Amino acid sequence: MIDFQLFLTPTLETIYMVFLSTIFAVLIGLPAGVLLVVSEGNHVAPNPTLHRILGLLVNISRSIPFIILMILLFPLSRLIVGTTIGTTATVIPLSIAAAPFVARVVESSLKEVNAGVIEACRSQGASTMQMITKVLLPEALPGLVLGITMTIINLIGYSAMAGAIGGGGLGDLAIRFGFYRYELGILIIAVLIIILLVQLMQYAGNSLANAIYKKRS
Amino acid sequence: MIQLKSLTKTFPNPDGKIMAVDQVALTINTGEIFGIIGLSGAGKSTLVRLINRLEEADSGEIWIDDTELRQLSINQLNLERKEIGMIFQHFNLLQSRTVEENVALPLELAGMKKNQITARVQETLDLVGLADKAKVHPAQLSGGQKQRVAIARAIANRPKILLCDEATSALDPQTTKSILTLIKELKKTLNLTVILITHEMEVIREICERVAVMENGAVIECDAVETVFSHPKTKLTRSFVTSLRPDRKSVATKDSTSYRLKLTFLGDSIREPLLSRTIRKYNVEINILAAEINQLATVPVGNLLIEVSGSKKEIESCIHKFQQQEIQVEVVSA
Ligand SMILES: Nc1ncnc2c1ncn2[C@@H]1O[C@H](COP(=O)(O)OP(=O)(O)OP(=O)(O)O)[C@@H](O)[C@H]1O
Ligand SMILES: [Mg+2]
Repeated sequence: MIDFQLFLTPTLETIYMVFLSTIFAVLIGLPAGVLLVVSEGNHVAPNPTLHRILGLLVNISRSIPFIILMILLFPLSRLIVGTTIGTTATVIPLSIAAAPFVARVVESSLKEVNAGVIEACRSQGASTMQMITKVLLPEALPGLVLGITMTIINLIGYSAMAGAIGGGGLGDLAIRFGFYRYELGILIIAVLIIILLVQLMQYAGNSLANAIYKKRS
Repeated sequence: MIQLKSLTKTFPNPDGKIMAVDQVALTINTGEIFGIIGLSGAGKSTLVRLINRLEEADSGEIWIDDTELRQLSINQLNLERKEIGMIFQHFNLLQSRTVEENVALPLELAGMKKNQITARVQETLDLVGLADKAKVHPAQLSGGQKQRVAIARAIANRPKILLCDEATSALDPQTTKSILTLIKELKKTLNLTVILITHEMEVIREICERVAVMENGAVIECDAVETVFSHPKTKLTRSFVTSLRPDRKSVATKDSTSYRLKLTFLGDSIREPLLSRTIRKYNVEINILAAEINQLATVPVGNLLIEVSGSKKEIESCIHKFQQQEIQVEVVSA
Protein backbone atom coordinates (compact mmCIF):
# COMPACT_ATOMS: atom_id res chain seq x y z
CA MET A 1 0.00 0.00 0.00
CA ILE A 2 1.10 3.50 -0.71
CA ASP A 3 0.83 5.98 2.09
CA PHE A 4 -0.63 9.12 0.58
CA GLN A 5 0.49 11.08 3.58
CA LEU A 6 3.95 10.63 2.06
CA PHE A 7 3.10 12.98 -0.82
CA LEU A 8 1.59 15.81 1.13
CA THR A 9 4.74 17.47 2.40
CA PRO A 10 6.69 17.18 -0.91
CA THR A 11 3.72 18.59 -2.81
CA LEU A 12 3.49 21.54 -0.46
CA GLU A 13 7.25 21.99 -0.72
CA THR A 14 7.05 22.08 -4.49
CA ILE A 15 4.25 24.62 -4.37
CA TYR A 16 6.23 26.69 -1.87
CA MET A 17 9.39 26.67 -3.99
CA VAL A 18 7.57 27.45 -7.21
CA PHE A 19 5.48 30.16 -5.61
CA LEU A 20 8.41 31.98 -4.00
CA SER A 21 10.73 31.64 -6.95
CA THR A 22 8.02 32.90 -9.32
CA ILE A 23 7.67 36.00 -7.19
CA PHE A 24 11.42 36.64 -7.13
CA ALA A 25 11.83 35.81 -10.81
CA VAL A 26 9.12 38.32 -11.68
CA LEU A 27 10.61 40.90 -9.33
CA ILE A 28 13.89 40.66 -11.22
CA GLY A 29 12.64 39.73 -14.68
CA LEU A 30 9.80 42.21 -15.05
CA PRO A 31 11.90 45.36 -14.62
CA ALA A 32 14.61 43.83 -16.79
CA GLY A 33 12.10 43.02 -19.54
CA VAL A 34 10.55 46.49 -19.33
CA LEU A 35 14.00 48.09 -19.56
CA LEU A 36 14.88 45.90 -22.52
CA VAL A 37 11.84 47.19 -24.37
CA VAL A 38 11.86 50.89 -23.51
CA SER A 39 15.61 51.24 -24.03
CA GLU A 40 15.38 49.96 -27.58
CA GLY A 41 16.07 52.17 -30.63
CA ASN A 42 12.95 54.30 -31.06
CA HIS A 43 10.95 53.32 -28.03
CA VAL A 44 10.04 55.65 -25.17
CA ALA A 45 13.46 55.85 -23.53
CA PRO A 46 16.08 54.84 -26.07
CA ASN A 47 19.39 53.81 -24.55
CA PRO A 48 21.33 51.53 -26.90
CA THR A 49 24.12 50.80 -24.43
CA LEU A 50 21.79 49.72 -21.65
CA HIS A 51 19.79 47.71 -24.15
CA ARG A 52 22.84 45.83 -25.38
CA ILE A 53 24.23 45.13 -21.91
CA LEU A 54 20.89 43.88 -20.59
CA GLY A 55 20.35 41.71 -23.63
CA LEU A 56 23.78 40.19 -23.19
CA LEU A 57 23.24 39.49 -19.48
CA VAL A 58 19.91 37.85 -20.18
CA ASN A 59 21.37 35.68 -22.91
CA ILE A 60 24.35 34.59 -20.84
CA SER A 61 22.25 33.62 -17.84
CA ARG A 62 19.78 31.81 -20.04
CA SER A 63 22.48 29.71 -21.65
CA ILE A 64 23.79 28.24 -18.41
CA PRO A 65 22.20 24.81 -17.78
CA PHE A 66 20.10 24.85 -14.65
CA ILE A 67 22.03 22.18 -12.74
CA ILE A 68 25.28 24.06 -13.34
CA LEU A 69 23.67 27.32 -12.33
CA MET A 70 22.48 25.73 -9.13
CA ILE A 71 25.96 24.57 -8.24
CA LEU A 72 27.44 27.94 -9.20
CA LEU A 73 24.93 29.61 -6.92
CA PHE A 74 25.64 27.46 -3.85
CA PRO A 75 27.72 30.23 -2.27
CA LEU A 76 24.92 32.74 -2.82
CA SER A 77 22.36 30.38 -1.26
CA ARG A 78 24.65 29.84 1.70
CA LEU A 79 25.09 33.58 2.05
CA ILE A 80 21.40 34.41 1.98
CA VAL A 81 19.69 31.35 3.46
CA GLY A 82 22.62 29.89 5.44
CA THR A 83 22.48 26.51 3.70
CA THR A 84 22.58 25.05 0.21
CA ILE A 85 20.02 22.30 0.66
CA GLY A 86 16.33 22.34 1.37
CA THR A 87 13.48 24.11 -0.26
CA THR A 88 14.30 27.65 0.83
CA ALA A 89 17.88 27.40 -0.40
CA THR A 90 16.62 26.09 -3.74
CA VAL A 91 14.43 29.15 -4.25
CA ILE A 92 17.54 31.19 -5.00
CA PRO A 93 18.84 29.30 -8.04
CA LEU A 94 15.26 28.77 -9.22
CA SER A 95 14.55 32.50 -9.09
CA ILE A 96 17.76 33.37 -10.85
CA ALA A 97 17.25 30.73 -13.51
CA ALA A 98 13.73 31.94 -14.23
CA ALA A 99 14.39 35.70 -14.10
CA PRO A 100 15.96 36.01 -17.58
CA PHE A 101 13.19 33.87 -18.98
CA VAL A 102 10.66 36.25 -17.43
CA ALA A 103 12.61 39.18 -18.88
CA ARG A 104 12.27 37.78 -22.41
CA VAL A 105 8.63 36.91 -21.88
CA VAL A 106 7.91 40.44 -20.68
CA GLU A 107 9.92 41.87 -23.55
CA SER A 108 7.97 39.99 -26.18
CA SER A 109 4.60 40.85 -24.60
CA LEU A 110 5.38 44.55 -24.35
CA LYS A 111 6.58 44.62 -27.93
CA GLU A 112 3.10 43.60 -28.98
CA VAL A 113 1.67 46.87 -27.68
CA ASN A 114 0.43 48.91 -30.62
CA ALA A 115 2.94 51.59 -31.63
CA GLY A 116 0.13 54.03 -32.41
CA VAL A 117 -1.20 53.72 -28.88
CA ILE A 118 2.24 54.44 -27.47
CA GLU A 119 2.56 57.42 -29.75
CA ALA A 120 -0.86 58.75 -28.71
CA CYS A 121 0.15 58.59 -25.06
CA ARG A 122 3.48 60.20 -25.81
CA SER A 123 1.59 63.05 -27.47
CA GLN A 124 -0.34 63.48 -24.21
CA GLY A 125 2.87 64.09 -22.33
CA ALA A 126 3.31 60.72 -20.62
CA SER A 127 6.61 60.35 -18.81
CA THR A 128 8.54 57.10 -19.23
CA MET A 129 7.32 55.81 -15.89
CA GLN A 130 3.70 56.69 -16.66
CA MET A 131 4.06 55.07 -20.03
CA ILE A 132 5.22 51.85 -18.40
CA THR A 133 2.65 51.67 -15.61
CA LYS A 134 -0.40 53.13 -17.32
CA VAL A 135 0.07 52.02 -20.89
CA LEU A 136 2.60 49.28 -21.61
CA LEU A 137 1.92 46.89 -18.73
CA PRO A 138 -1.90 47.18 -18.74
CA GLU A 139 -2.07 46.87 -22.53
CA ALA A 140 0.19 43.82 -22.49
CA LEU A 141 -1.54 42.19 -19.51
CA PRO A 142 -3.04 39.10 -21.19
CA GLY A 143 0.32 38.29 -22.81
CA LEU A 144 2.07 38.81 -19.49
CA VAL A 145 -0.33 36.44 -17.75
CA LEU A 146 0.34 33.73 -20.32
CA GLY A 147 4.08 34.36 -20.10
CA ILE A 148 4.11 34.09 -16.33
CA THR A 149 2.04 30.91 -16.54
CA MET A 150 4.74 29.53 -18.80
CA THR A 151 7.35 30.58 -16.25
CA ILE A 152 5.52 28.82 -13.43
CA ILE A 153 5.29 25.63 -15.46
CA ASN A 154 8.99 25.79 -16.25
CA LEU A 155 9.68 26.34 -12.57
CA ILE A 156 7.68 23.25 -11.62
CA GLY A 157 9.98 21.30 -13.92
CA TYR A 158 13.13 22.97 -12.63
CA SER A 159 12.08 22.46 -9.01
CA ALA A 160 11.80 18.74 -9.68
CA MET A 161 15.31 18.82 -11.10
CA ALA A 162 16.52 20.74 -8.07
CA GLY A 163 15.24 17.86 -5.98
CA ALA A 164 18.08 15.78 -7.37
CA ILE A 165 20.60 17.81 -5.44
CA GLY A 166 18.80 18.14 -2.17
CA GLY A 167 16.11 20.59 -3.08
CA GLY A 168 13.16 18.82 -1.51
CA GLY A 169 9.72 18.66 -3.07
CA LEU A 170 8.19 16.14 -5.43
CA GLY A 171 11.33 15.73 -7.52
CA ASP A 172 13.31 14.87 -4.43
CA LEU A 173 10.65 12.33 -3.44
CA ALA A 174 10.56 10.75 -6.88
CA ILE A 175 14.33 10.40 -6.98
CA ARG A 176 14.71 9.12 -3.42
CA PHE A 177 12.00 6.50 -3.65
CA GLY A 178 11.78 5.78 -7.32
CA PHE A 179 15.44 5.92 -8.29
CA TYR A 180 17.30 4.79 -5.17
CA ARG A 181 14.70 2.38 -3.73
CA TYR A 182 13.02 1.18 -6.90
CA GLU A 183 9.59 2.08 -5.59
CA LEU A 184 8.13 2.68 -9.01
CA GLY A 185 4.62 3.36 -7.67
CA ILE A 186 5.80 6.33 -5.68
CA LEU A 187 7.76 7.65 -8.62
CA ILE A 188 4.74 7.41 -10.89
CA ILE A 189 2.44 9.10 -8.41
CA ALA A 190 4.97 11.90 -7.86
CA VAL A 191 5.14 12.42 -11.61
CA LEU A 192 1.35 12.37 -11.84
CA ILE A 193 1.10 15.05 -9.19
CA ILE A 194 3.59 17.15 -11.13
CA ILE A 195 1.55 16.67 -14.30
CA LEU A 196 -1.57 17.66 -12.40
CA LEU A 197 0.08 20.82 -11.07
CA VAL A 198 1.20 21.76 -14.56
CA GLN A 199 -2.28 21.16 -15.99
CA LEU A 200 -3.87 23.20 -13.25
CA MET A 201 -1.51 26.11 -13.77
CA GLN A 202 -1.99 26.09 -17.51
CA TYR A 203 -5.74 25.99 -17.08
CA ALA A 204 -5.73 28.83 -14.57
CA GLY A 205 -3.42 30.94 -16.73
CA ASN A 206 -5.45 30.40 -19.88
CA SER A 207 -8.69 31.16 -18.09
CA LEU A 208 -7.34 34.35 -16.63
CA ALA A 209 -5.92 35.55 -19.96
CA ASN A 210 -9.17 34.70 -21.72
CA ALA A 211 -11.18 36.53 -19.11
CA ILE A 212 -9.07 39.63 -19.73
CA TYR A 213 -9.42 39.32 -23.51
CA LYS A 214 -13.14 38.87 -23.16
CA LYS A 215 -13.54 41.89 -20.93
CA ARG A 216 -11.79 44.00 -23.56
CA SER A 217 -13.72 42.80 -26.56
CA MET B 1 -0.23 81.44 -32.70
CA ILE B 2 1.93 78.68 -34.04
CA GLN B 3 4.97 79.63 -36.03
CA LEU B 4 7.19 77.20 -37.83
CA LYS B 5 10.47 78.58 -39.03
CA SER B 6 12.45 76.72 -41.67
CA LEU B 7 11.69 73.35 -40.14
CA THR B 8 13.64 70.55 -41.72
CA LYS B 9 13.62 66.84 -41.11
CA THR B 10 15.50 64.16 -42.97
CA PHE B 11 15.37 60.41 -42.56
CA PRO B 12 18.30 58.20 -43.40
CA ASN B 13 17.63 55.72 -46.14
CA PRO B 14 19.80 53.26 -48.08
CA ASP B 15 20.58 55.68 -50.90
CA GLY B 16 21.25 58.80 -48.89
CA LYS B 17 18.61 60.89 -47.17
CA ILE B 18 14.88 61.46 -47.50
CA MET B 19 13.88 65.10 -47.16
CA ALA B 20 10.65 64.43 -45.30
CA VAL B 21 10.16 68.07 -44.33
CA ASP B 22 12.04 70.69 -46.26
CA GLN B 23 12.48 74.22 -44.89
CA VAL B 24 8.86 74.62 -43.93
CA ALA B 25 7.80 78.05 -42.69
CA LEU B 26 4.19 78.51 -41.66
CA THR B 27 2.20 80.76 -39.40
CA ILE B 28 -1.03 79.38 -38.02
CA ASN B 29 -3.30 81.87 -36.32
CA THR B 30 -4.93 81.28 -32.99
CA GLY B 31 -8.44 79.95 -33.41
CA GLU B 32 -8.23 78.96 -37.05
CA ILE B 33 -8.61 75.60 -38.68
CA PHE B 34 -5.55 75.17 -40.82
CA GLY B 35 -5.41 72.40 -43.38
CA ILE B 36 -2.37 70.65 -44.77
CA ILE B 37 -2.94 68.66 -47.91
CA GLY B 38 -0.59 66.61 -50.02
CA LEU B 39 -0.14 63.26 -51.65
CA SER B 40 1.03 60.22 -49.75
CA GLY B 41 4.63 60.64 -48.67
CA ALA B 42 4.54 64.42 -49.02
CA GLY B 43 5.66 64.81 -45.41
CA LYS B 44 2.40 65.92 -43.80
CA SER B 45 2.50 63.50 -40.89
CA THR B 46 6.15 64.18 -40.28
CA LEU B 47 5.45 67.90 -40.22
CA VAL B 48 2.74 67.69 -37.53
CA ARG B 49 4.77 65.18 -35.57
CA LEU B 50 7.58 67.72 -35.53
CA ILE B 51 5.23 70.24 -33.94
CA ASN B 52 4.71 68.21 -30.74
CA ARG B 53 8.15 66.68 -31.10
CA LEU B 54 7.02 63.11 -31.56
CA GLU B 55 9.72 63.44 -34.16
CA GLU B 56 12.75 65.65 -33.58
CA ALA B 57 13.50 68.21 -36.26
CA ASP B 58 16.99 68.48 -37.76
CA SER B 59 16.79 72.26 -37.73
CA GLY B 60 14.36 75.11 -37.52
CA GLU B 61 12.11 76.57 -34.86
CA ILE B 62 8.67 75.73 -33.50
CA TRP B 63 7.01 78.60 -31.72
CA ILE B 64 3.76 78.23 -29.84
CA ASP B 65 2.90 81.68 -28.60
CA ASP B 66 6.08 82.68 -26.76
CA THR B 67 7.59 79.25 -26.34
CA GLU B 68 10.12 77.69 -28.67
CA LEU B 69 9.41 73.97 -28.31
CA ARG B 70 12.78 72.72 -29.49
CA GLN B 71 14.44 74.53 -26.57
CA LEU B 72 12.39 72.66 -23.97
CA SER B 73 13.71 69.86 -21.79
CA ILE B 74 11.79 66.60 -21.93
CA ASN B 75 9.90 67.46 -18.73
CA GLN B 76 8.98 70.92 -19.96
CA LEU B 77 7.97 69.37 -23.26
CA ASN B 78 5.67 66.88 -21.54
CA LEU B 79 3.96 69.80 -19.80
CA GLU B 80 3.63 71.70 -23.06
CA ARG B 81 2.22 68.58 -24.75
CA LYS B 82 -0.79 68.83 -22.45
CA GLU B 83 -1.66 71.96 -24.40
CA ILE B 84 -1.53 70.08 -27.70
CA GLY B 85 -4.14 67.40 -28.31
CA MET B 86 -3.64 64.97 -31.15
CA ILE B 87 -5.89 62.55 -33.01
CA PHE B 88 -4.93 59.88 -35.50
CA GLN B 89 -6.24 57.92 -38.44
CA HIS B 90 -6.44 54.70 -36.44
CA PHE B 91 -7.75 56.27 -33.23
CA ASN B 92 -5.07 54.62 -31.06
CA LEU B 93 -7.28 53.99 -28.06
CA LEU B 94 -6.15 51.78 -25.19
CA GLN B 95 -7.80 48.37 -25.23
CA SER B 96 -7.12 47.99 -21.54
CA ARG B 97 -9.38 50.90 -20.69
CA THR B 98 -13.06 51.68 -21.08
CA VAL B 99 -14.17 54.78 -22.95
CA GLU B 100 -14.21 56.91 -19.81
CA GLU B 101 -10.88 55.52 -18.65
CA ASN B 102 -9.36 56.36 -22.03
CA VAL B 103 -10.56 59.93 -21.69
CA ALA B 104 -9.29 60.01 -18.11
CA LEU B 105 -5.77 58.96 -19.10
CA PRO B 106 -4.40 62.37 -20.11
CA LEU B 107 -5.89 63.82 -16.93
CA GLU B 108 -4.18 61.15 -14.85
CA LEU B 109 -0.96 61.88 -16.69
CA ALA B 110 -1.38 65.54 -15.82
CA GLY B 111 -1.83 64.66 -12.16
CA MET B 112 -5.43 65.80 -11.81
CA LYS B 113 -7.35 64.69 -8.71
CA LYS B 114 -9.72 61.70 -8.91
CA ASN B 115 -12.99 63.56 -8.35
CA GLN B 116 -12.02 66.33 -10.74
CA ILE B 117 -11.18 63.69 -13.34
CA THR B 118 -14.62 62.12 -13.03
CA ALA B 119 -16.34 65.45 -13.59
CA ARG B 120 -14.08 66.45 -16.47
CA VAL B 121 -14.47 63.09 -18.22
CA GLN B 122 -18.23 63.34 -17.97
CA GLU B 123 -18.21 66.86 -19.32
CA THR B 124 -15.89 65.93 -22.17
CA LEU B 125 -17.89 62.86 -23.19
CA ASP B 126 -20.95 65.09 -23.29
CA LEU B 127 -19.11 67.45 -25.62
CA VAL B 128 -18.45 64.65 -28.11
CA GLY B 129 -21.89 63.10 -27.65
CA LEU B 130 -20.78 59.78 -26.20
CA ALA B 131 -21.89 60.03 -22.58
CA ASP B 132 -23.91 56.84 -22.94
CA LYS B 133 -20.84 54.81 -23.95
CA ALA B 134 -18.73 55.72 -20.93
CA LYS B 135 -18.46 52.21 -19.50
CA VAL B 136 -17.93 50.41 -22.79
CA HIS B 137 -14.60 49.14 -24.12
CA PRO B 138 -13.45 50.67 -27.42
CA ALA B 139 -13.68 47.33 -29.23
CA GLN B 140 -17.45 47.64 -29.11
CA LEU B 141 -17.56 51.00 -30.86
CA SER B 142 -17.86 51.95 -34.52
CA GLY B 143 -15.04 53.84 -36.22
CA GLY B 144 -16.82 57.15 -35.85
CA GLN B 145 -17.47 56.54 -32.19
CA LYS B 146 -13.86 55.55 -31.63
CA GLN B 147 -12.72 58.78 -33.21
CA ARG B 148 -15.08 60.67 -30.91
CA VAL B 149 -13.49 58.98 -27.92
CA ALA B 150 -10.07 59.86 -29.30
CA ILE B 151 -11.18 63.46 -29.71
CA ALA B 152 -12.53 63.50 -26.16
CA ARG B 153 -9.18 62.18 -24.97
CA ALA B 154 -7.31 64.78 -27.00
CA ILE B 155 -9.33 67.67 -25.57
CA ALA B 156 -9.66 66.35 -22.01
CA ASN B 157 -6.87 68.60 -20.79
CA ARG B 158 -8.51 71.52 -22.63
CA PRO B 159 -5.56 72.12 -24.91
CA LYS B 160 -4.97 75.20 -27.02
CA ILE B 161 -4.15 73.19 -30.10
CA LEU B 162 -5.60 70.13 -31.77
CA LEU B 163 -3.51 68.23 -34.30
CA CYS B 164 -5.44 65.90 -36.59
CA ASP B 165 -3.44 63.44 -38.66
CA GLU B 166 -5.79 61.96 -41.28
CA ALA B 167 -8.43 61.78 -38.57
CA THR B 168 -11.19 60.96 -41.02
CA SER B 169 -9.32 58.84 -43.54
CA ALA B 170 -10.55 55.57 -42.06
CA LEU B 171 -14.18 56.71 -41.98
CA ASP B 172 -17.01 56.68 -44.50
CA PRO B 173 -18.12 60.01 -46.01
CA GLN B 174 -21.07 60.49 -43.70
CA THR B 175 -19.11 59.74 -40.55
CA THR B 176 -16.34 61.97 -41.87
CA LYS B 177 -18.81 64.83 -42.05
CA SER B 178 -20.05 64.29 -38.53
CA ILE B 179 -16.51 64.18 -37.17
CA LEU B 180 -15.59 67.34 -39.07
CA THR B 181 -18.70 69.05 -37.74
CA LEU B 182 -17.70 68.02 -34.24
CA ILE B 183 -14.20 69.42 -34.70
CA LYS B 184 -15.68 72.66 -35.98
CA GLU B 185 -17.98 72.92 -32.96
CA LEU B 186 -15.23 72.11 -30.50
CA LYS B 187 -13.00 74.66 -32.11
CA LYS B 188 -15.63 77.28 -31.29
CA THR B 189 -16.56 76.15 -27.79
CA LEU B 190 -13.00 75.52 -26.65
CA ASN B 191 -11.32 78.17 -28.77
CA LEU B 192 -8.99 75.63 -30.32
CA THR B 193 -6.42 76.15 -32.99
CA VAL B 194 -6.72 73.16 -35.30
CA ILE B 195 -4.14 71.77 -37.68
CA LEU B 196 -5.68 69.18 -39.90
CA ILE B 197 -3.85 66.90 -42.27
CA THR B 198 -5.63 65.20 -45.09
CA HIS B 199 -5.23 64.05 -48.63
CA GLU B 200 -8.86 64.83 -49.39
CA MET B 201 -9.71 68.26 -50.72
CA GLU B 202 -13.29 67.77 -49.53
CA VAL B 203 -12.14 67.78 -45.95
CA ILE B 204 -10.30 71.03 -46.56
CA ARG B 205 -13.33 72.58 -48.19
CA GLU B 206 -15.55 71.38 -45.38
CA ILE B 207 -13.84 73.00 -42.43
CA CYS B 208 -10.55 74.72 -43.14
CA GLU B 209 -10.00 78.42 -43.28
CA ARG B 210 -6.51 78.30 -44.71
CA VAL B 211 -4.62 75.51 -46.37
CA ALA B 212 -1.03 74.62 -47.12
CA VAL B 213 -0.24 72.28 -49.97
CA MET B 214 2.78 70.04 -49.49
CA GLU B 215 4.87 68.26 -52.06
CA ASN B 216 8.15 66.45 -51.44
CA GLY B 217 8.43 67.87 -47.94
CA ALA B 218 7.97 71.48 -48.95
CA VAL B 219 4.98 73.78 -48.70
CA ILE B 220 4.34 74.79 -52.30
CA GLU B 221 1.23 76.85 -51.73
CA CYS B 222 -0.43 78.38 -48.71
CA ASP B 223 -3.45 80.63 -48.70
CA ALA B 224 -7.07 81.09 -47.74
CA VAL B 225 -9.09 78.09 -48.86
CA GLU B 226 -11.28 80.17 -51.21
CA THR B 227 -8.23 81.57 -52.90
CA VAL B 228 -6.64 78.20 -53.34
CA PHE B 229 -9.90 76.90 -54.76
CA SER B 230 -10.44 79.77 -57.11
CA HIS B 231 -6.83 80.39 -58.07
CA PRO B 232 -4.76 77.29 -57.60
CA LYS B 233 -1.21 78.31 -58.37
CA THR B 234 0.43 74.95 -58.84
CA LYS B 235 -0.40 71.94 -60.92
CA LEU B 236 -0.76 69.74 -57.86
CA THR B 237 -3.25 72.10 -56.25
CA ARG B 238 -5.21 72.31 -59.48
CA SER B 239 -5.46 68.56 -59.55
CA PHE B 240 -6.71 68.55 -55.97
CA VAL B 241 -9.33 71.17 -56.77
CA THR B 242 -10.59 69.45 -59.89
CA SER B 243 -10.68 66.11 -58.10
CA LEU B 244 -13.47 67.48 -55.98
CA ARG B 245 -16.81 65.95 -56.49
CA PRO B 246 -19.80 68.29 -56.44
CA ASP B 247 -20.72 69.41 -52.99
CA ARG B 248 -23.21 66.90 -51.69
CA LYS B 249 -24.17 69.14 -48.81
CA SER B 250 -26.05 71.55 -51.02
CA VAL B 251 -28.18 68.97 -52.80
CA ALA B 252 -30.54 69.33 -49.94
CA THR B 253 -33.87 68.76 -51.59
CA LYS B 254 -34.94 67.18 -54.82
CA ASP B 255 -35.34 70.33 -56.83
CA SER B 256 -32.81 72.51 -55.04
CA THR B 257 -29.20 72.33 -56.06
CA SER B 258 -26.13 74.48 -56.13
CA TYR B 259 -23.58 75.46 -58.70
CA ARG B 260 -20.18 76.81 -58.13
CA LEU B 261 -19.50 79.48 -60.70
CA LYS B 262 -16.45 81.45 -61.61
CA LEU B 263 -17.33 84.82 -62.98
CA THR B 264 -14.86 86.92 -64.82
CA PHE B 265 -15.86 90.38 -65.88
CA LEU B 266 -14.25 93.41 -67.32
CA GLY B 267 -14.61 97.11 -66.96
CA ASP B 268 -17.84 98.77 -66.01
CA SER B 269 -19.91 95.77 -65.12
CA ILE B 270 -17.92 95.63 -61.90
CA ARG B 271 -19.43 98.80 -60.68
CA GLU B 272 -22.90 97.43 -60.89
CA PRO B 273 -24.27 95.79 -57.77
CA LEU B 274 -24.50 92.60 -59.70
CA LEU B 275 -25.11 90.03 -57.04
CA SER B 276 -27.65 91.82 -54.94
CA ARG B 277 -29.69 92.49 -58.05
CA THR B 278 -29.49 88.85 -59.05
CA ILE B 279 -30.69 87.70 -55.67
CA ARG B 280 -33.62 90.05 -55.81
CA LYS B 281 -34.57 89.04 -59.30
CA TYR B 282 -34.17 85.28 -59.07
CA ASN B 283 -35.09 82.92 -56.34
CA VAL B 284 -31.52 81.89 -55.53
CA GLU B 285 -29.02 82.23 -52.75
CA ILE B 286 -25.51 83.33 -53.48
CA ASN B 287 -22.42 82.76 -51.44
CA ILE B 288 -19.25 84.53 -52.34
CA LEU B 289 -16.39 82.12 -51.92
CA ALA B 290 -13.70 84.35 -53.30
CA ALA B 291 -13.48 87.75 -54.87
CA GLU B 292 -10.65 89.56 -56.52
CA ILE B 293 -10.29 92.60 -58.65
CA ASN B 294 -7.18 93.20 -60.65
CA GLN B 295 -6.36 96.42 -62.39
CA LEU B 296 -5.06 95.51 -65.82
CA ALA B 297 -3.31 98.15 -67.88
CA THR B 298 -6.52 99.77 -69.02
CA VAL B 299 -9.47 98.07 -67.40
CA PRO B 300 -10.20 96.42 -64.07
CA VAL B 301 -10.76 92.67 -64.22
CA GLY B 302 -12.93 91.04 -61.61
CA ASN B 303 -12.94 87.44 -60.57
CA LEU B 304 -15.67 86.06 -58.40
CA LEU B 305 -16.09 82.54 -57.18
CA ILE B 306 -19.65 82.10 -56.06
CA GLU B 307 -21.93 79.32 -55.04
CA VAL B 308 -25.47 79.70 -56.29
CA SER B 309 -28.17 77.58 -54.69
CA GLY B 310 -31.74 77.22 -55.79
CA SER B 311 -33.70 75.28 -58.35
CA LYS B 312 -31.85 74.26 -61.45
CA LYS B 313 -34.07 76.39 -63.62
CA GLU B 314 -33.51 79.54 -61.58
CA ILE B 315 -29.76 78.98 -61.54
CA GLU B 316 -29.72 78.55 -65.29
CA SER B 317 -31.59 81.77 -65.81
CA CYS B 318 -29.12 83.53 -63.55
CA ILE B 319 -26.24 82.20 -65.58
CA HIS B 320 -27.99 83.36 -68.70
CA LYS B 321 -28.46 86.80 -67.17
CA PHE B 322 -24.79 87.01 -66.22
CA GLN B 323 -23.80 86.10 -69.75
CA GLN B 324 -26.07 88.76 -71.18
CA GLN B 325 -24.13 91.29 -69.17
CA GLU B 326 -20.93 90.09 -70.82
CA ILE B 327 -19.73 88.31 -67.82
CA GLN B 328 -17.74 85.22 -68.53
CA VAL B 329 -19.26 82.33 -66.59
CA GLU B 330 -17.45 79.12 -65.90
CA VAL B 331 -19.25 76.34 -64.05
CA VAL B 332 -16.60 75.03 -61.67
CA SER B 333 -18.79 72.35 -60.25
CA ALA B 334 -22.43 71.48 -60.33
N1 LIG C 1 10.35 56.96 -39.30
C1 LIG C 1 10.69 57.12 -40.59
N2 LIG C 1 11.83 56.58 -41.06
C2 LIG C 1 12.20 56.73 -42.35
N3 LIG C 1 11.49 57.40 -43.26
C3 LIG C 1 10.33 57.97 -42.87
C4 LIG C 1 9.87 57.85 -41.51
N4 LIG C 1 8.69 58.51 -41.40
C5 LIG C 1 8.44 59.02 -42.63
N5 LIG C 1 9.41 58.71 -43.52
C6 LIG C 1 9.48 59.13 -44.92
O1 LIG C 1 9.29 60.52 -44.97
C7 LIG C 1 8.46 60.88 -46.06
C8 LIG C 1 7.25 61.62 -45.57
O2 LIG C 1 6.42 60.74 -44.82
P1 LIG C 1 5.08 61.18 -44.12
O3 LIG C 1 4.58 60.01 -43.36
O4 LIG C 1 5.30 62.43 -43.38
O5 LIG C 1 4.13 61.46 -45.36
P2 LIG C 1 2.60 61.80 -45.40
O6 LIG C 1 2.47 63.02 -46.20
O7 LIG C 1 2.04 61.82 -44.03
O8 LIG C 1 2.00 60.58 -46.19
P3 LIG C 1 0.65 59.78 -45.99
O9 LIG C 1 -0.41 60.57 -46.67
O10 LIG C 1 0.92 58.48 -46.68
O11 LIG C 1 0.43 59.59 -44.52
C9 LIG C 1 8.13 59.57 -46.77
O12 LIG C 1 9.02 59.43 -47.84
C10 LIG C 1 8.37 58.52 -45.73
O13 LIG C 1 8.77 57.31 -46.33
MG1 LIG D 1 0.63 60.58 -42.95
